[in-house]
Amino acid sequence: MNFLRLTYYLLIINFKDFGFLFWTIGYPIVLVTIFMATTSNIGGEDMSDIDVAVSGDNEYSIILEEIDFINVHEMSDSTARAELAEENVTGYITEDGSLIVQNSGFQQSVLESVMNQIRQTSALGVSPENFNFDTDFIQTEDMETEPQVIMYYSTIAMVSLYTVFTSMELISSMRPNLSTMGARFSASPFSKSKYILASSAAGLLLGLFSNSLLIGYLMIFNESVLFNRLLPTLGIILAGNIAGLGLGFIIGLTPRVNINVKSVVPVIFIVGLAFLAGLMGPGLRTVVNREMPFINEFNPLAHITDTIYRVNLMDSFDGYWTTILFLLGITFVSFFITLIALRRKQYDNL
Amino acid sequence: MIAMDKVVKRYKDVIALDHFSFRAGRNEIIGLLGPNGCGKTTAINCMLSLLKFDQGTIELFGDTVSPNNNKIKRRIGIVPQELAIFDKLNVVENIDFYCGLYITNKAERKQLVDEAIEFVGLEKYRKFVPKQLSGGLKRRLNIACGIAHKPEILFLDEPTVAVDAQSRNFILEGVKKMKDRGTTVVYTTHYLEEAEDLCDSFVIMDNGRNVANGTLDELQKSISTTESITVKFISGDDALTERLKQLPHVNQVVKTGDRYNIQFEKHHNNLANLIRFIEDHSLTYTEIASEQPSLSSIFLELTGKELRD
Repeated sequence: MNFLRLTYYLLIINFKDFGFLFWTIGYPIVLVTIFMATTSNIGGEDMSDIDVAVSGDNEYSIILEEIDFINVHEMSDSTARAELAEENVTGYITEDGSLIVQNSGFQQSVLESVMNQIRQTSALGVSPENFNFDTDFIQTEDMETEPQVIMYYSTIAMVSLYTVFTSMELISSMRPNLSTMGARFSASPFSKSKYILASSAAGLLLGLFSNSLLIGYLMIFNESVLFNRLLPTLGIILAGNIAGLGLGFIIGLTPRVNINVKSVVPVIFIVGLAFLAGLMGPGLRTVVNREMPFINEFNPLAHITDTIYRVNLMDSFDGYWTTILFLLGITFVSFFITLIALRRKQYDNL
Repeated sequence: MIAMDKVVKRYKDVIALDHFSFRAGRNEIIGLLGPNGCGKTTAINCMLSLLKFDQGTIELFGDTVSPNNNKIKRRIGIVPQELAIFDKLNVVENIDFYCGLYITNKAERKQLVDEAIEFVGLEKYRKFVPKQLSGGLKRRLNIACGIAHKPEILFLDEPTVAVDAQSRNFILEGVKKMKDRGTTVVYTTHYLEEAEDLCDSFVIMDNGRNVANGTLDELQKSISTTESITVKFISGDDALTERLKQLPHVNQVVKTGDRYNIQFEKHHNNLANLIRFIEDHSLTYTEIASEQPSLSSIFLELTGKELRD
């Protein structure tokens, strides 16, 4: 049988499988739909109305009044503190330039950022009054961003690795100690490398198909623009799918374990990595990066998520090729181990 | 075609094959018989080079088997006891998939697939997926997958387990046809009547050993089981029983009603001696029948156990 015919059969065998249809197509779409429904207000706060209390002769009030989205209210120290306690103002700036806030939040973060900028300008020896807020010192792209994009990107990264299931199942099915079909394959003169390559091609096509569906769904139904650079994004996704295949082969090689039990391993593995990469929101990702930065150094999903984010929302290709190489490295090592493990294999028992 | 010589296979402390040897020639159906766990499937897996063995040699077509000997693999077929078919592929696709492991030419494969479908009688079910087929039809599909490439040696591991009578007959006729077209078939089964009807020779296995082998006639001669002759006389009595016991080589005479069952030691001309006795004593009989030991009784004597426990 030629390579294309074998790939075609392996495609049919997997595509008609309910598990594939649900987990790689249905589940991610359900997941992002839930994200869209539950996080639609995260980025919707009004930035134009940040009320700030300043006391008496505050040199910062003149500068702050120049900023469109900040409303300055002059009042005494005690009144300002009372207004802050009742949350009538977002922050209170004392005479020495200290910022006091009652809660943490998006508006407070913006206010803090503004005050930092003013202080840094002052530190340069430039009078704060001379600071021109109309001048753009940094070139920025006009993009709509929401914090939950990281969740969408990590979902895409997660689906990229779902090829792990296809390759795991296929490699299990060709091992005589794990299945009768494996015995039949091993007793025939078929080429193991051809079978592995055809399995990979089939898994890759199915993986790219499910990724494309998810991307298409997000492009149609999500309000923000997530994919400013689709082609490089697909490049990363392709590398992720290939790495997923390799990881699946390694899991498929594990000794006599029922395929259903074996499937639990990548489920836990991928969901765990996706959590760490930001599937459950940017908060967890920030904590992991701060407290245990080494984890995401080795987390392929974090690499994929970050790269998709940088390429699409920061217009940056920093780390793009490093991520591709990292993913291909995983693939190369996995394929090498798989071929060595299966080559001329005989078993002590079946 | 097949030469297995003093093969030893151990699973830790358990000896699955104990200096097991057997040979099979071209165009022969050889029955590998034995109770569960006697080593039949282990022997087949060693011949297919799926299992390592500790000692001995195995040759197929005069060539030593090894996992990378594709020259041998191309000429053999396997029909495992468990179904090895793809649920998501239809009948044609399943057979084409397995045939494709051996045959690369598409046109040749198509012809072989069609022949295999016809061979197992699945013409009406070409586009059916396995879940639409009955148990018997699935078995036939399983067989078609193993024979489509026309192997010279075919290993059939319990192909008629849990199969309806119609499919069983179909399968057995198919195996005979395989032999007719030149295939050597290694056939394992629990059903001794089936084996007796189908196989040219037998290997009786027990505890990993070759207890006996040969044709049915050879096996019958190899045991000390008596020939059993039953006679129905018009009139008879206890005195007749005693007189029958005087015949040469008689072990036992059992009278049941007007029937006398006379069991002989291994010997020739028992029936002729009996008929002479009847004529000499002017006795009248209405029925007389001689029975050779069946495969079942041979198995019982050789292994001390019933096969179908």
